[in-house]
Amino acid sequence: MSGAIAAAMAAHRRRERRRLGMLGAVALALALSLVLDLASGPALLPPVEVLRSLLGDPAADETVSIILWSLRLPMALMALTVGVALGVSGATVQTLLDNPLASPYTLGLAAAAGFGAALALQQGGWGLPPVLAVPGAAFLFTSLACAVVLGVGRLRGMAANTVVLAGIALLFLFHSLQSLMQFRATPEVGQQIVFWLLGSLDRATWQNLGITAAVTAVSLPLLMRHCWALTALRLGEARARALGLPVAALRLGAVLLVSLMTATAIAFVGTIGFIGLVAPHLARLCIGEDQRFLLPMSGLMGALMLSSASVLSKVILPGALVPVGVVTAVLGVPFFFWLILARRLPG
Amino acid sequence: MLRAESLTLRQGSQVISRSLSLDFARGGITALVGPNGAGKTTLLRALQGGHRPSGGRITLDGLALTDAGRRRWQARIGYMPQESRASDGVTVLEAVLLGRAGTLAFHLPDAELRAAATLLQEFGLLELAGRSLATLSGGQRQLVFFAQCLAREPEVMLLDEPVSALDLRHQQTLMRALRRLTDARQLISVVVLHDLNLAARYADRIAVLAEGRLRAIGPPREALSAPLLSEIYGVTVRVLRDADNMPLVQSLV
Repeated sequence: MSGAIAAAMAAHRRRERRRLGMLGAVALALALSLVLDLASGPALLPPVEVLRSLLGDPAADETVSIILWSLRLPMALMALTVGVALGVSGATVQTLLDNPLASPYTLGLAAAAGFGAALALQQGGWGLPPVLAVPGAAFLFTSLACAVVLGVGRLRGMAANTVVLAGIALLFLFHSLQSLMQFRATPEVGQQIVFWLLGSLDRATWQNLGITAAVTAVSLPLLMRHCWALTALRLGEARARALGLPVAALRLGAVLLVSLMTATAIAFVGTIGFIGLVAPHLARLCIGEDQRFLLPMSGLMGALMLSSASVLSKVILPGALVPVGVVTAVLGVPFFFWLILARRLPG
Repeated sequence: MLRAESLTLRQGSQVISRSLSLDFARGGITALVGPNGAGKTTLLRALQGGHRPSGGRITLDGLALTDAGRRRWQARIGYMPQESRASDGVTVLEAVLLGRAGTLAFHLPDAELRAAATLLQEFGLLELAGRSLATLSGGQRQLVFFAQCLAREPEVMLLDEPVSALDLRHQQTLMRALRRLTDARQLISVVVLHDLNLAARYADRIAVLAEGRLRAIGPPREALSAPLLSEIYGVTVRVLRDADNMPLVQSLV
């Protein structure tokens, strides 16, 4: 083997190690953000006490442990799980649809969830407790939107443009229907609808966290199985097809998984914007297009963004809790402008 | 032997080719030439399995291309389409590796890396291995995609205008490599070319297509005739002979 070939191989391995290192660094930042998220809130908990309680130290403060285990931990872990789901989904959708501005919400999923939730609130939950009816209806309508997008897409061989256009059509439809629900609702119900739409981690419980985490944990490895095919798609659909990759089947399967992850996440926390759009771009800046690293990095970036937003939502206005969806949008927009102006977005 | 029998090819409702029959032998390079819109790319895509013919059949060593066997068929083929898009975040070495995207496991073994790097070395691109594909010139990128095709270790090479963005030296590099590999590995090579002289120099046979019909096929000396070329291109063409008695095509404006 020539020295030049050995050097090229060594350089590639170094690149892989650097990418792993970056994943580790973001995971570390995420751990720090998690502790801060657990420590912050109406009652500020000492981070050392938080760590002691987390590690099961019998000498840990009992009040801290109660606040932590029954209130804050489900919320903080939900931020991580939803962040991972939205980050990974965003990266996958941007690749599948060959569109840097795409996010899971481009498929009309958030609008469908919003309408489902609004309908459940407006109808008083059809006799079911709101804690079941609202996420249930949100999930149901998100699944319906997904089925329509996939159905229309399949008629055209899952062409990227058809999927995007079907998603945008649904987005407008469900937005209009959601506005109708708000228009017809009483002021109290209207307020509840607005609050749901803003997105909040307050609704996290151990049960819905378990469901979201399970769906994400099953979907992620299934997506990772296609990491090389997804990387090849970054060279354009024509080349991916030339490489004999089943692009239509890949798009169908991946959109299904993304929809499932997104539907589950937003059913429980509402529509949290910008994570699915911005996190993949941040990940791409650090890692490149090798999806073996990009998908996990997008997930970690999404989790870091949502966890940090959760911390900020509690400290930004003393004594008040700003909905986390507002924080992600307010921080996400200028950040996105920076990405655009820095010409870092792939065209 | 790759064989197309009585193929009818359509794009939507438009018939591109009707009753097209051609065969391609192992160890031979066939150049597909003809004016734009003659159906060369559609034929190549049909041979690759990416375009379903509306009539006729395609066989490779007697085995017919079917919907069920499409993936196995495509695994035997290295197809280089005209499109050569680059992505910012893909390195040159990764682009070559992606030739095997359908079979790579999560962990990349050294053997795969070595094979990709060796291909890059063959085309003088090894020093660019870590560079982003987007920073390469169009010609360099075309060579990378040619290497990507070879990384698939194909039995059939289908190349659609592979030298369109290459300078003279790189045109020779690519065509010489194709000649050498076709001979050494007994590949079936089909290449769409607009440069008729390059086709005459490197191809064993030239198939002249016009309006979806096969107008001539045979060794360059026979296939490239001045009256036929003048008719299908709509310009006056003169065919001279070079020192090796090979056709030298000139268009007279």
